[in-house]
Amino acid sequence: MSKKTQNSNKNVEVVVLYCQHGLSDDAKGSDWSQKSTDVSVRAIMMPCSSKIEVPYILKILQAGVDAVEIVACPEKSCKFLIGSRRAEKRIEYIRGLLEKIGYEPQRVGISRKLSQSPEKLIELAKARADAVRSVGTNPMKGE
Amino acid sequence: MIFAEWKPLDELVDKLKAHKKVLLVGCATCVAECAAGGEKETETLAPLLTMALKKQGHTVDITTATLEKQCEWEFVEELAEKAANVDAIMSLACGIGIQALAERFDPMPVYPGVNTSSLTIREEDGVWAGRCAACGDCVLDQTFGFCPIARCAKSLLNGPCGGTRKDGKCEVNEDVDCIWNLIVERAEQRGQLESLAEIRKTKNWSNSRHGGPKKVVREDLKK
Repeated sequence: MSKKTQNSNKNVEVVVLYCQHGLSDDAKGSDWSQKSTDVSVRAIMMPCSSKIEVPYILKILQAGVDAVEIVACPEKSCKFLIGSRRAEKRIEYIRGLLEKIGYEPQRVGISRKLSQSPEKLIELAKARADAVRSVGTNPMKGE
Repeated sequence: MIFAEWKPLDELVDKLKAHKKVLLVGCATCVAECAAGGEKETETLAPLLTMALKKQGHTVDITTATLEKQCEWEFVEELAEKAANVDAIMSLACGIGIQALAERFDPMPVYPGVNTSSLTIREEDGVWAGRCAACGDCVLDQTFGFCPIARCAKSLLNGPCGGTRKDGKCEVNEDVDCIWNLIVERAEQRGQLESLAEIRKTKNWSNSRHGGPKKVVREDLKK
């Protein structure tokens, strides 16, 4: 059985970094996690998506997490005006770096959403998990 | 600032794959300003190289440190403890910092993580442009504050060359201003165009690298 096939049956670990302003009022909290049979989600609240620096995401991947999803505000809704735009540029930069070292760029993604409930964040995490399921486990897993 | 850029990642991976423990060292001055070797870039490159090496089957433990200045011995000494626990160092400083580490930690292999290429100014966020060639014989007063050595593709002292595009750009690169066009424009604005008719003599390059390795001694500053 190939490594890629093996991964399709395994639990995919996804970290969601979300802007606190993009969450619905009744859902604001700090960090939380949820595990199901096929996806493990850890969600971490950020003051703004622009606070997500390049090393943060690479260190998450270095730790063996399969994928990272950034949830930023739509451009015109950003409380810091250009915060979510900066986040988007950084994600593009990271995806380019991953490609250069032979990692799949889809291990990192960004969504622009407002009024997100925890359930919707989990849906975004599952979509990111589905995007990486076919490319296999993060080679750093287990280090 | 001294400008540097990361070497290609596959080249860096190739240098490190024979090692087990590596110290990646940044510098918080010029290379931080040009986003190649400051703390942020050092902390970016360390996980990236670790992942790239792992992908190729090499497990390398990469620790990091960023010095205030890699070109000053007092700061370099701060690395002594960390350097004692690795079998190689990679430096993200300019060539000066890399040599300082190589000298201090001899015979430890010290690899350059960047290519140092020029002296630049940050024109805007994410854009740097060469301004000085460290030629050792400054003529900026004669050229209205524009350097023809660093900013003319042919380093002409008596320009323009005749290849200036109609829009004032350089014939070598359509995105770059012809610096002699700017020199002439500024001379006209100041009513001093005739000063450019004077032939500037062959440059004395002996105070640049053409004069051999540089060493300056100031007795008043020595201990």
